Amino acid sequence: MAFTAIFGVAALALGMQVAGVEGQLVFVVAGVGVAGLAWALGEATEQAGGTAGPRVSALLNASFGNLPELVILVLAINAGLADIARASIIGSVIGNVLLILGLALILGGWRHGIQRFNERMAGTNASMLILGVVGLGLPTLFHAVDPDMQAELSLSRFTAAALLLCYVAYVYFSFTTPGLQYHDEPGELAWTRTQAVAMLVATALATGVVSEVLVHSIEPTIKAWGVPREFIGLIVVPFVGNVAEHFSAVRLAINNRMDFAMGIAFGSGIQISLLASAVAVFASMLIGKELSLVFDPLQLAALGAAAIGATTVARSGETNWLEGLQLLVTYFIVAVAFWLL
Amino acid sequence: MTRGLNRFETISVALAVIIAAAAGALALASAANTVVFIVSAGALVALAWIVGVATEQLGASAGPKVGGVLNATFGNAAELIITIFAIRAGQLEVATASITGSILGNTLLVLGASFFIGGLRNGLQSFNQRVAGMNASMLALAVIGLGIPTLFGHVANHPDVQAVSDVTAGILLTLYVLMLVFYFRTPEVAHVSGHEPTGPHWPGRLAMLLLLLSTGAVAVMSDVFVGTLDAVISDVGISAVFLGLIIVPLVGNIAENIVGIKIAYQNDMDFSMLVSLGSSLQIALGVAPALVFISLLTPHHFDLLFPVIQVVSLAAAVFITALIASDGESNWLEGAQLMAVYGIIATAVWYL
Repeated sequence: MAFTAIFGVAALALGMQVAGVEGQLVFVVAGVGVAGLAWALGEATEQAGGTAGPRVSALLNASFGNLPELVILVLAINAGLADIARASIIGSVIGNVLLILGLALILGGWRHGIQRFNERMAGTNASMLILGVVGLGLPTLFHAVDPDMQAELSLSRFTAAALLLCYVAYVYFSFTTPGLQYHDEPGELAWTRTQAVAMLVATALATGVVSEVLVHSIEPTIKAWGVPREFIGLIVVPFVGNVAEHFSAVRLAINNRMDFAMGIAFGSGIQISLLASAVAVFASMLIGKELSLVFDPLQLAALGAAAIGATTVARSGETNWLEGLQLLVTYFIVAVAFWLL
Repeated sequence: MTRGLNRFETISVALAVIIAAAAGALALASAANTVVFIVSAGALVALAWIVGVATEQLGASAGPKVGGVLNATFGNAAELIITIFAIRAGQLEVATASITGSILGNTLLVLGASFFIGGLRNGLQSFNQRVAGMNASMLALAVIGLGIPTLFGHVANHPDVQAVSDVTAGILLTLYVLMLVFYFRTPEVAHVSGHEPTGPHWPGRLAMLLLLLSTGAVAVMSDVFVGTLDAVISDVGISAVFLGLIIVPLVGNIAENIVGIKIAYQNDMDFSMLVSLGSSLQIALGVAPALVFISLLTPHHFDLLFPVIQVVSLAAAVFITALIASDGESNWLEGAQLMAVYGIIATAVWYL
């Protein structure tokens, strides 16, 4: 039922594109389509992983968890929207650790009071996130100091490789270190393995197609709405890719499963900053429109603030709704600042 | 227990003498600068190691308190001497960068490699959280101290930045002395720093003699080494900043670095962190301010004015190190994270 509706919206978005409709309406429909497909992709990953055991399942999650964001990223680069792509990397991380985590803490804390979680796991996640921010920040810093820097792209490439290696090490570490995995009891497996894999492939393909429609409608929408480009890249595009994770994290927090809820928010932020950004750089080399990791300094500052806020929360070992509110307020201040920019 | 040099030590001393002699001969015969650079760098590595062992042996035979003071003074003697010669030769860019590079190398590369290799062998390793926290906050303070003159000089264009730098150097040096006093008077810290990895087996007089001889040899080799820098910069095409930030600290510290990593492999994280973080502190609070005053004796004035990019890199390094060290536990992933930050900074400097 849900799947039918999602594919319906996806088909509608594609139809509008083919029929030559332009602008904000396409953007909205495609946005809803991508958001739905992101959810469907999550379900399909879970089902496909569930038939293959927890290890494969975790590996699938670690690789495909943020596939929609990655697809949008690469397609935006391909469409020549490098600034939107860079903003959406930062916006996605900020959205995960401020908006998603903030909402989860507020709703979970409201219901359960003080919530506890595995401090060691949270500590590893926090320092990994800081590494991501430092890694993404350094090329910008060097570029700011030396604007005629010849080697912007070489430095971006190397940074991407280092971050990618760290991500692989992180995944390996969390698999092999006891007490670092969070086990979600597998939901009932409604599908056979063939069905699950077929669904995974179908949703992934549909995500690609609808994301392409979405990306092409970005420019006309910016003109029609008069919204700042930064706001679209930093807030709106990441929201479309992340909305499914919002629901999962909030649901888990309400059920008082903070380890898992924080795992989604942090894990997703880490995956974007270390994996998606690196893959985007390498993919952009293949496309021939190489992405440089030199970000807008203001956006980077917002990312730093977000990482510090989330890290402070993660290191205390317990959470309450007030901490959630602090994160959420930070997010709204960032959003308003870029709206007014 | 043997009294005197064991076989390994005898061989290393002989090797150091041979390499140093070769470097001296090559320099006198005016061989190609790049060759002299490499051979003298090799001699410095070996000599720095002998200075370290001699300091340790002398300290061990003189008791933990004197040993602590000796280590605090001679621990980075090679580094200090190389930098003095660089300043004397007018290589101020290299000298400045080598201060930054030493701190970065110790906090990111050495600590990272210690966590990484120690963690791979021993799994989760724990260390005294209070000592680590104290070191981390001292390090943060040191970076602030090094950063303020830069901030005033480069950003605010302060008219008399040299005075700011001189006063800051005085304050940092005072703080370093206070820190040593505190460390020796606080039992749990003194316990860590009084650690004796090998135990004394050299007679005191032999240790003293070797310390003096090797320190003198370091000075001679530093002169040779620094003399080749200009040619290496122009011939090989390495920038002065990269030389100062990456190569010079590696030459002056590599022996000590290997010791720090070896100790982590043996699962004594407290001592390993003392080597890496303690060394960073010594450079930031001891060596850098001392250079400001020593440089008054040379025609060139060294001040605590760093390029902004170096201060920011330092801040990033200290921030992530403090974050990782403050929980009292380490694992190999944290080591990989620290080394990754070092790698990215080194690459950025290479391309600068």
